[in-house]
Amino acid sequence: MGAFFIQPLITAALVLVLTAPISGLVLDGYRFDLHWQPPLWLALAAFFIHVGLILIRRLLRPGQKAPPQQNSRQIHPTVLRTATILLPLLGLLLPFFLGKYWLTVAILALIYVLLALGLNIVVGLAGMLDLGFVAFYAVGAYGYALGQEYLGLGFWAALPLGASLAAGLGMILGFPVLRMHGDYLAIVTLGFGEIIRLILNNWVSFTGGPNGMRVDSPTLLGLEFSRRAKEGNVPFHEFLGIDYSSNHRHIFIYLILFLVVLATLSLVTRLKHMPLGRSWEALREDEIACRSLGINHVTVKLSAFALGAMIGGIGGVFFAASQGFVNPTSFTFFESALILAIVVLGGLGSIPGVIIAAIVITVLPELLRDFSDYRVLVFGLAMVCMMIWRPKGLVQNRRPVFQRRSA
Amino acid sequence: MLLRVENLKMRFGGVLALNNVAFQVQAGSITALIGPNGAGKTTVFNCITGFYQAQQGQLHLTPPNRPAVNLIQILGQPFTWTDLFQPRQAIKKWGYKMFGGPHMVCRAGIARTFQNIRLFKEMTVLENLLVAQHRQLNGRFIGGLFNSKTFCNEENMALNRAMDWLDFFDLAHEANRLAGQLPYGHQRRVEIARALCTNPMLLCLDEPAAGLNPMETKALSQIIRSLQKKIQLTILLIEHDMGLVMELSDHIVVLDHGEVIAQGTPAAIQQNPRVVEAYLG
Repeated sequence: MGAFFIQPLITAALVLVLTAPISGLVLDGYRFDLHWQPPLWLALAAFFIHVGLILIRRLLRPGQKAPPQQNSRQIHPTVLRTATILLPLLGLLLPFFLGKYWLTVAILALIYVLLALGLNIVVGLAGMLDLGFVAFYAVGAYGYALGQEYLGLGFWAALPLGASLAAGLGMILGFPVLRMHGDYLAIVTLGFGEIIRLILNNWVSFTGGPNGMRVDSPTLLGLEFSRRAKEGNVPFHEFLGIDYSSNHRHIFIYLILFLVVLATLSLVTRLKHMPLGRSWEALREDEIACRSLGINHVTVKLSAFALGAMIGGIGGVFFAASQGFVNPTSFTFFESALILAIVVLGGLGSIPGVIIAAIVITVLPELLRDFSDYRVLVFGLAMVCMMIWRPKGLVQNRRPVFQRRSA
Repeated sequence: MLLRVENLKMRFGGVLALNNVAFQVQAGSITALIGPNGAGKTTVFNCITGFYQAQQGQLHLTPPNRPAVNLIQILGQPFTWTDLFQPRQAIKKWGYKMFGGPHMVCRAGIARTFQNIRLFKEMTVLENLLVAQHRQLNGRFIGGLFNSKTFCNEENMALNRAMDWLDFFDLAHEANRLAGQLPYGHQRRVEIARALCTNPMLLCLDEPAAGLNPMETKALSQIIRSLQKKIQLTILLIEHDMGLVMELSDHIVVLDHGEVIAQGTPAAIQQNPRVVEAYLG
């Protein structure tokens, strides 16, 4: 019984010590008054909360819990199959029920899913801490904007251009950092991200600098989604003979983006089960062992960088298309940190976890608009709680189970 | 003869780690490398498997039915002024410099294990073995993306090969456990199985019996013997357990202070006064 109260008493004492100066001493002009009641009440509340927590824990767990078995929780195949058919359908139907505001939020969420899937390859699978991922995002976005400005490219041409530009840049970044690990790699990639942003910010004659650049919205087989089309073109609503709605543009972007996300998702899932994906994970575990097994760490690392960057670049093109405008302030270090946070919160290497985390982290701030002052506070609190209860992320990366199969 | 080591010299700063080390490994034999701590045994291993680049000397792998491989060359050598007159050789050199390294040594047919076990701890045992078969599988990227039939077949074959090795090492029941969770003795065996999955001609074992109990050591020695018998594997091993070394090996090379002080059959080594003085005691 003694142990039952000792910990809560300690908690209460700590609360007393911590809150007494804040809530007990009230400034009144040049002197301050002592108020004993508020800190005492707080300490009492802390005491009872702790006792309650202990009680709940005892009730929930009468005996010792069996240690969790690795690979014991497998999702039932029929559940999995229904989910893989139903969820994409649901996603495709979703935009027709959303208002304009939530439509933009959904597009943003999907862009973050894309970015997180890309960074998940580099950080989660290949184990290379990349703090400058936003650079590839920026390259994709500016690839579209600059391509349109100087080469007259449309969205559909910018998509492969932005992707390959970003992938090429990923390779270029990959080469010098081949020998680096952990902290050193993080610092170099951080620097790289800032270099890209600073170039975009300061090369005013080429990129427009802080003023940014305007970007046209995508077209469907040459049909524009504006009220009035440019000369010689037909707007989408006139072609179909329906009323104009500014939602059409967003729905269209959402649908393409959703298909791209699905394609990326299947690509990454397949890669995880292929020799290349396995070598990424092996490289994360032990580079020297990898080399002793005949894996060329150069090509494997570069492929991870290039593929991650490519997906980031595609995300950037969509960002530019949905915003209709790009400028360097969208590509600060905070953005990199956010994407990294998504990957870590979701669970390094876990694809479903990363998707859930991306959606939660983009949609939650919108839901919490009313408390916008405390948004970062809630965010931090969520992070701390995650690290306590689920240190390996929302959905832990599950290892595949193999059995002998007939060839 | 499978491996020829000639005049190997390796210097770390002021320390001469290897001085004119020369020995040969006969095809199908078990050769042991012994010597006191710090004698340079692991350095020799790292030179052979390409993790260190020897400053002098030659390393030749001469498989009976395949062209010989110069193990020093495939690590990528520095350019010299004579390359100016031999552009073809210079291009070859550049190619090795860009894409060479220890992985080329493995592809040439030398597999190794490590003194401190280097398994992929967060991956399952079977995945460890599948990673080792990366070379045999990696040709079909597009097929893999679309999960084509040939890819599936090859993947299944790799899986079955891995399972065969696990059966051989009596580890089939641990196939889907995380490698890092296995007991120490099992981890040692998984590492050997993983090295074997690369289809080597020469298997280099760095202290395979370290940390094993007498029972496990005995099982290990049986496994090594049967590997030699069954697939005519050539084995080069470093070991401190003299019982195991004397029982297994056909040929013993003794190193001390970076020099080969004796080599020969187990019986001859046991009688050699220099070896007794330096190591056996």
